[in-house]
Amino acid sequence: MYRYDQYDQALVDARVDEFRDQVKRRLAHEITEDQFKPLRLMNGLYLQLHAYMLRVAIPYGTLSGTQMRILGGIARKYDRGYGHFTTRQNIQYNWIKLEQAPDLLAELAAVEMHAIQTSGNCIRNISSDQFAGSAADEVADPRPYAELLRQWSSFHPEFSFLPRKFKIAVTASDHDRAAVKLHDIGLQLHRNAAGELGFRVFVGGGMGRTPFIAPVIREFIPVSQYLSYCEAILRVYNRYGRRDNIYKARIKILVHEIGAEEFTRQVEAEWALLEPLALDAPTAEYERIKAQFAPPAYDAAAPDSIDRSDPDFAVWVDHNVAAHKVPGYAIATISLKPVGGIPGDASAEQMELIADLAAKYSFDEIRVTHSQNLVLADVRKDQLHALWSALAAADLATPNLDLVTDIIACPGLDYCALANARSIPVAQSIAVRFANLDRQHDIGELKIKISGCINACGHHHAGHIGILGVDRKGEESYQLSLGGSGAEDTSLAKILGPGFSEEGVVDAVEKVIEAYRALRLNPQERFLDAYRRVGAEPFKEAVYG
Amino acid sequence: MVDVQDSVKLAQNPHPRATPATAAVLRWRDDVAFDGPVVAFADFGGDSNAAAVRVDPADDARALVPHLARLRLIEVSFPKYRDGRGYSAARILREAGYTGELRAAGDVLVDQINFMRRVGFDSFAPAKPLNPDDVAAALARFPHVYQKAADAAAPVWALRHG
Amino acid sequence: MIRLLTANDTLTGDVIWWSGKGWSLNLADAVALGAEGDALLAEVVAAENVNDPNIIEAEAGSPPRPRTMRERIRGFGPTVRADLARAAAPHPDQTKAA
Repeated sequence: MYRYDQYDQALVDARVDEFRDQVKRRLAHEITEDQFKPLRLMNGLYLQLHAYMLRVAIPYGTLSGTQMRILGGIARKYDRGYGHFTTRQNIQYNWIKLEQAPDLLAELAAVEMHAIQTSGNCIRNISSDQFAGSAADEVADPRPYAELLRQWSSFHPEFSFLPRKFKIAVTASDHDRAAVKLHDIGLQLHRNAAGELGFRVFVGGGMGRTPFIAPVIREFIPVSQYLSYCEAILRVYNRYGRRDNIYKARIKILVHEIGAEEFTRQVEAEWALLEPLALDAPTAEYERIKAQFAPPAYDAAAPDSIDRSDPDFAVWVDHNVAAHKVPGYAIATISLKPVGGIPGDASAEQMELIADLAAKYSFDEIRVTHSQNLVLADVRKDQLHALWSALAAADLATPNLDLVTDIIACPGLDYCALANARSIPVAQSIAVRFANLDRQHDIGELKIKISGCINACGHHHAGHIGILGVDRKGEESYQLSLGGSGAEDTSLAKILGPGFSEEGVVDAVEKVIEAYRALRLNPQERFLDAYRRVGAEPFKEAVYG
Repeated sequence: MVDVQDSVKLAQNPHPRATPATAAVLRWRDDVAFDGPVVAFADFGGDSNAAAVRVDPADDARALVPHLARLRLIEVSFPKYRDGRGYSAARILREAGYTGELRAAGDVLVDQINFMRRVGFDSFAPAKPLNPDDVAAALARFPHVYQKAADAAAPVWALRHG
Repeated sequence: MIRLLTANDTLTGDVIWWSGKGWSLNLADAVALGAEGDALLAEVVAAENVNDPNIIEAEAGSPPRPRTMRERIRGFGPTVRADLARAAAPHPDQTKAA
């Protein structure tokens, strides 16, 4: 994975010093809270319901075992013994003290991590495919390009006061594990007819109050020019994105209001002016970064088979293990969704254990997924059983990937100052209702996503079943939506009907699922495909009829 | 390509102090400050003698490009620091070859000065006066940059492969 | 309904309640505001020594029971982590699953 050189380190260290100064000025009352707030937000420090929350960037969801061990240690030393992995592949701490934040950031900097641009109206952490570099279906490793984007977007002088936040995702496979069409910019690496590598450019997707699926504005931009092309997109957005209404300020609204064709024309015109300025990093820089993502020392003699004689292990392999591009290796997903647990939460001890397991079984590297799970991407097939045993002992081997209990949930009203309703208890109640593994496996792939407010951090628009918590006259109420997808078949979920109480929404989900079981063509027909085939009516009938 | 030699030299030099043109204006230029009238952007087209113009956030700075030769001062206004359109305006003007004074005026805060210098501003008229020591410290804070902008700083990729 | 003054401590981020003499970490110490409440809030806002000061409604009791779920969660802690409950009193909204 990418390692900082002297330049990267000097910049991150300087940022820690700067923030230490700013905190000192605030605590000495030299600056007001009004002046300080944007400064702390640029370092990922929010004030939530109970305390300060710090969001730490995990660039494109990749971190080393060493970094994970430090994240665990920080949870113990500065927080209350746990952290929360987010849908942006980051980690958040919920109980941070302002006076300790500079020391915490210094500990992060010592292991090449930071919280820069994890908040504010700037380019946020670049997200990517959690299987990048190991996926059997990718055309090339997208991580060097994601790292180049990270560097280009860090401290960008022109784009640090955008109309609104800006999220970029990069993927390199037709199987979309990064929801690229639901980002401000989605970049899909592919080859053109001449066999050259370039990006398909999606712009203007997003969830939130007004969800949109991003249109393609360019089928192919060569990899040597994608940074300047992004620069052109950002400049058009910075100049013409709406600033009169915070709810209409994302780039998706601009693209929607002027139309993809006109937006594309403006970007192309801007790029024609920027392209001659040689803004793109040279090939040598790409090669330098790429060398750091060189494949690890795979053992060509690793046997390409898995001993499935342990039935519990076999179930886990069937659900949580994916194909690797190298024979003898596999990609293992660690579920952070034990039944009744808090989706995405991990204790300090679990983080430290996963760090140890990564060192032992997966070349000391870990990935965070946008569905709030963790991945060991390079595990020998003949070591999967040993890995599984160690995970199971720490409640980390729930075989439920992409099943009904693998629920995405934002922190919701239990933590978040913006939330209108709680998300976590709803996720817990649904998981408990469907705890039986045979029942989960019978239902098959079903992605439930829960947000506690319209901002949609829980991706409810992209849920096969989406749940949105709202405030109805002081009471929590939950709206049910069906038919969304954040994968390559991206679609937006549609509201089924009137909302429910917390218990009512769990009953409604069960009715939807039982209706699906009754009408599916065969057990292989997924919920999403059945819904697309029959439409909302049978489900409305089942829930409200 | 950026002239790496020059940029390295610049990066190694401590940032020179601005010479105040008036008490409130911070200035990084050697020439004499223009003290004639600054016309509003909307009036600029009809005033063929104007040598200074004020650009508000919604104005299209690119419309000034045909007239850059006669402009000595372009003042870009920042009514609210959160409105970042002026950063693009500045860079567009520098990219088009403007070498006159480019002033950021209004809600200009010390923590933004570094970005503003990078997109091409060389003078500042903050609504609330800035402490010159704080400004110097902010400009000296970050030793490198990751990307090209309108200044001479070489991005780290140029230093790595220089 | 009574009215309580609450905020977050700038240094620690902790939820704090106006006790009549100063700020307390314990909801049970919160005092019902009289007519002086709005002037007190204006004073606290102007002083900028605490973050997000606000007056909320609650049912009288020991401790008082804030009217909204949001304020109860601020007062008692997350409903999903019984181990992190803030006050001595049991959480009125603790979930079963946790």
